[in-house]
Amino acid sequence: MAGRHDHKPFEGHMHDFEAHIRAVEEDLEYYRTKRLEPRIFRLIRSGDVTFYDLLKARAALKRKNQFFKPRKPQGKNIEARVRHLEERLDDYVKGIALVSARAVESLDMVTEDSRKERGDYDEFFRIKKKEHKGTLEERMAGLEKDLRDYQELLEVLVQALMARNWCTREELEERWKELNERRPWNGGLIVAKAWTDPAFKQALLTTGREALREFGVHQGKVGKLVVVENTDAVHHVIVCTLCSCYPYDILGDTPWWYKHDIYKTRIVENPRAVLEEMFGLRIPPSKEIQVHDSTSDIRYFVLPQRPKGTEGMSEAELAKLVTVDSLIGAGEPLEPGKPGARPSAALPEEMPRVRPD
Amino acid sequence: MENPTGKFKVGERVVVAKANPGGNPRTPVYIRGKRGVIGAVHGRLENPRDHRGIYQPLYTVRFDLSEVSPCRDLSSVWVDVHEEWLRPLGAEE
Repeated sequence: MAGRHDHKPFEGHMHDFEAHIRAVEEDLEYYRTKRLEPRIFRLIRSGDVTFYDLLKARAALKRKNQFFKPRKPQGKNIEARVRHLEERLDDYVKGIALVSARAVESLDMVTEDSRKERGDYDEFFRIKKKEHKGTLEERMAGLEKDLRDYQELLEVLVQALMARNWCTREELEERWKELNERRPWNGGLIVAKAWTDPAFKQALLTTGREALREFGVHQGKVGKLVVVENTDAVHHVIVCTLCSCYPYDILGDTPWWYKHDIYKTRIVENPRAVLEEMFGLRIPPSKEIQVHDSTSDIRYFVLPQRPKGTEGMSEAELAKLVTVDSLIGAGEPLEPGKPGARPSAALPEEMPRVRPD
Repeated sequence: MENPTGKFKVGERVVVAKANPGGNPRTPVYIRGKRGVIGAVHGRLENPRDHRGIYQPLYTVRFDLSEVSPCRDLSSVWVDVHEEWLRPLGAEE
């Protein structure tokens, strides 16, 4: 059996189906209870969409008018089924982004409304997450059913929003196309540039968002970006203990564990132990760990240290060494040629999913 | 005239209010009543996508890990706190 720290227990490779299924279970419940359903409750409270709009939209729904087109699985073996679940989860999350406050501007919603509605400040409002039990097969069958149910409610909401003229099908189709465009992951590109261009690094550390103008990063009134640099003396870690704030408009979605209560509670209690136990990342006792809790209008990410043995590598090669975890402080960038590390040339580029507000 | 960046300076010792009914809700429970040091001053940040109106001036406050947790370790927790939750730490505190 593989040793405990052979790979990060919260991640896992494709042969580790258990880790993949766990990730789908956690993210699916997160997005249902923290994004979609609180949004529906909010719309019902404001009267912008009523229960009766939803019932009518469901009754009127015909297959040919469906907004979301169902995906077909590419096989019956376990790997194909796991991939199918992951793709459907991605579609569900993108679908929630499609009807987010920012997307449907005619609805006057701000993030703070959702935070209240989903119980960030009051447990009374929290929607209970489903627990997953049984064998891997039973859990997969359960997820397949849940995804059908949850996707149906999302479809009905989209139909109701169109029926109430909050948005048109054309607007939604245009946005759906944008959400599905493949784009390079800014995280790796930003870090690689900072490793090779001292002037850019200085600008990034002192001006945040402004330094990222050339990456197409939004410059408006959206709070502040702070980039914290790992050094030989200090290791930085990011968390949002109140919800799951993260500069996702720049870096895409986080791994599921970032939104999980265990991480959010324990990282501010004993960061050194959490980094070692959850991520296999050992920080020597003599090195200070600084945990940043993004509680308000600042979003953080970590500029990790450039790995050894990367002298002479191009920005494009360096970008492939940067992992999502290393920008949170839960991991180091990959080291080329190190035993156990995957060869950088064969690495697929990190491509975190779109994250709805 | 009110200082737009706020009344605290980097390095000043502060204490977080234990409770602040009706105040900004984004102050986590684990730092309430705890002592820290101003680590950064951000002023009033506009973020109309996240909330209506403008919050009070914002600070990043550094807390020793031992102040917010029973754990003894060379670590610190940095939390963003709005001015209405902070007061200067008295000499005897």
